[in-house]
Amino acid sequence: MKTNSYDRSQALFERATKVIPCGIYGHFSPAPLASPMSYPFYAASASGAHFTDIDGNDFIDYMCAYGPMVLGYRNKLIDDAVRKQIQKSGDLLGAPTPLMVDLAEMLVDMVPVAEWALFAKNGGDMTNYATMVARSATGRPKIVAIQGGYHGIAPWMQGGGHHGVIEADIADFIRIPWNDVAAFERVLAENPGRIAGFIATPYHHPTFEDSVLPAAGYWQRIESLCHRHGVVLIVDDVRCGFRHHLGGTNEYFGFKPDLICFCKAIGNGYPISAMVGTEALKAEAAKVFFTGSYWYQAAPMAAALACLTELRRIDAPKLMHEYGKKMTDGMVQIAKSYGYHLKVSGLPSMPYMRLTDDPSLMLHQRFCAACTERGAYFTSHHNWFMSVAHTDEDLARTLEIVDDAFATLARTQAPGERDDGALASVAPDAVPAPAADAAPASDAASTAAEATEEVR
Amino acid sequence: MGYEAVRARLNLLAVLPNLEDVVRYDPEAADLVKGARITIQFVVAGGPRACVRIADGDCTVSAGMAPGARPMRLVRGARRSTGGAWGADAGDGWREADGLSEAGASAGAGASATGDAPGAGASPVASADWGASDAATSAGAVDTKEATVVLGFASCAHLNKMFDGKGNPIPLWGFTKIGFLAGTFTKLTERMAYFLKPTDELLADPDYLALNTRLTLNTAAFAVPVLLENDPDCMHLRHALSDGTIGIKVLPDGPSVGLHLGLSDVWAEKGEPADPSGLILMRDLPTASAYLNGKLDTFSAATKGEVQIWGQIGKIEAVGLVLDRVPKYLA
Repeated sequence: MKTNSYDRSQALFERATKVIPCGIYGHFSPAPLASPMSYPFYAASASGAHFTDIDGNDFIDYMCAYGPMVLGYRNKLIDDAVRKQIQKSGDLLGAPTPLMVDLAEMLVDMVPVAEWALFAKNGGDMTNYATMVARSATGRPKIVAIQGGYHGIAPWMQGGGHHGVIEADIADFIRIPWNDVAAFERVLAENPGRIAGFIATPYHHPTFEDSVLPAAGYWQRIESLCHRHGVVLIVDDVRCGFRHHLGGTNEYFGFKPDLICFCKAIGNGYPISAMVGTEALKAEAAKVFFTGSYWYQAAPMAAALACLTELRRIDAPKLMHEYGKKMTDGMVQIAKSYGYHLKVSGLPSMPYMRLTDDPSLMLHQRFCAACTERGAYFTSHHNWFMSVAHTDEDLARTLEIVDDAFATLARTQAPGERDDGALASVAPDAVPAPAADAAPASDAASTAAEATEEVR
Repeated sequence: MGYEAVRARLNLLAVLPNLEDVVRYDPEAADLVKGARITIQFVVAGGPRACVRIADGDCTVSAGMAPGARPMRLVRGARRSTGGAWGADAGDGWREADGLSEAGASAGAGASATGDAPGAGASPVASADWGASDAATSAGAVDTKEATVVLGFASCAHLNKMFDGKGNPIPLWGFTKIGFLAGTFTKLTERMAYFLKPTDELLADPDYLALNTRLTLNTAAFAVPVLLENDPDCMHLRHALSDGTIGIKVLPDGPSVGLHLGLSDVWAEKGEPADPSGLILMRDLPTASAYLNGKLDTFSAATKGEVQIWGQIGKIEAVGLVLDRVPKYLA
């Protein structure tokens, strides 16, 4: 199978490093991709579930811009709504447009917890604001969060030891393990009348580690403890929101938080985030000053209205769940045919996958890199995202790529060694031999691909 | 833990061990120690300890007390120094290493027994609790006569001044070896300092580049456990570094170091670790030199493949955050 080359991406990156710190910063930085040389750095265009890089390589995108793309790139419905708004009325005007009220009403209608809504740009705007509302409402200083839980890039979110974070930034944030109700009980006992809020994602989806679903009864016990101790329960649904349940992922897991933060899938790539809350916190939310230069842009609100309407019309979570299940099942089957063991964690519309044959992740990194070089954009450190734009044809092609990547993986020697030998490393051999009882490399890919017909 | 205390631990436990490789790889240093047989014990009152052993043309540096090092029982209330610079009240007098008063007088005033606060009006030597030390660096029985020289430091700041070339230690034991200390050992430490303080001109010499890179890599690796244990910022990262092994290697042929991450302990070793769970691979010596001396944008370098990272990258990122703190103490 043909593999990609990235000459233009790499040349542009050289230019970038002269004028931009890191060349590419933040979560789009290729630095944690192993090896970055196997990945595209710059996109030229995108359509549906595909994007094309500046070298002309086409990718079936399983990162979906790290979540915002949910209906497909350049989705006509959404883009038409945005164009119409801009051409008819403009985008950022001298006052909010009626779309702001329309969107709040839509969220209140869709999300059972929601009795009000407000809007910003990024998920971190909302998670930070949620902690402020919790503190304002309770008059208490401390927030409990989960170890390894990601809520954005503000100092308290990054945690101690990170550059630019000082002790005072984190002094009132207590991190406890995921799924550990007893730890929360201990924190409550040790800090009587001091805990303002508990913030967590609906399920634990850290980087470089398996995702972990809530244990049976976990959320219900956390909810109960929060109510008993007057603690504001905040769900960071930024990454999961609208991919598992249109009423908020808490509905999927059967509990009711006080505040929910949304972003990513809400606007199919247009910049908007939202927070919804219960009536009891509406007055406090009104007291906490909250604003930003571009938070009242009408076009992203038009996008969100169109996006949420479409997600609801097609029951998007169900479609993404089904696609993810078909794909991950197919991949597991192909891996097995080569003697490897692929573990799937998290929910199917947002799976994290890992080859358990090598706990160091080097083998898994080589696998993801090999797939990306063949046109299926897989990162090895982060959960993937399914969209409703992924087609049966995409699924079949993905599984062909996966099969070819595993075939190559079984032949190669060491992490960092590419098929063309361009990137020689002398890393210790970390590639476990295929299991002796492995089935012969079969046509598992085509078998799995056939199953795609049942997707929709 | 305060700045001077952390820095003292870095100096003894991350910088001083470079003597081993200076003797091993620098012919001039190897000549210096030819035929020498001596153990030099470094003791910081209430602080870290380390010993340097030179024998058979080889040098080894270890944390803690050397077998045979004289116990430091000059406890609080020891006799007032006759040097007059120390100030505070006298106590019960020396119980072990006589002659301290003269040595103390020459050690330089201003050093503090507490490690951080300058000893204004205090008596650094007289009040120093020489018997106390880091739990982590107090290992080793004191039961033989092998240790030949014991160098005392009234405080962490006192030790750091010596590493800065601005202070002298207090010889507490082994006065017959003062000549070796003043001559050979001083030249040896000067060779180490030479290889640890690069200039662009020096780095143009391939041999210098190779040894500087080796020493800098060692310093970085051995600094990680010290900082995770003692630096207030790095301590937050400890929970993220509680299992696995990170290998750091300069391609193609080394040098290499390994960082072993455990629930109860983190330690470094020279050489390639077996079965690493994470790898930092630097393309070549110049890249490694730039990376280790903080002249490289590591994110860009990783993207360009100049520095490859593989495996448990979350842990590698945490190690990187720790390494970024090293210049705060050892710039």
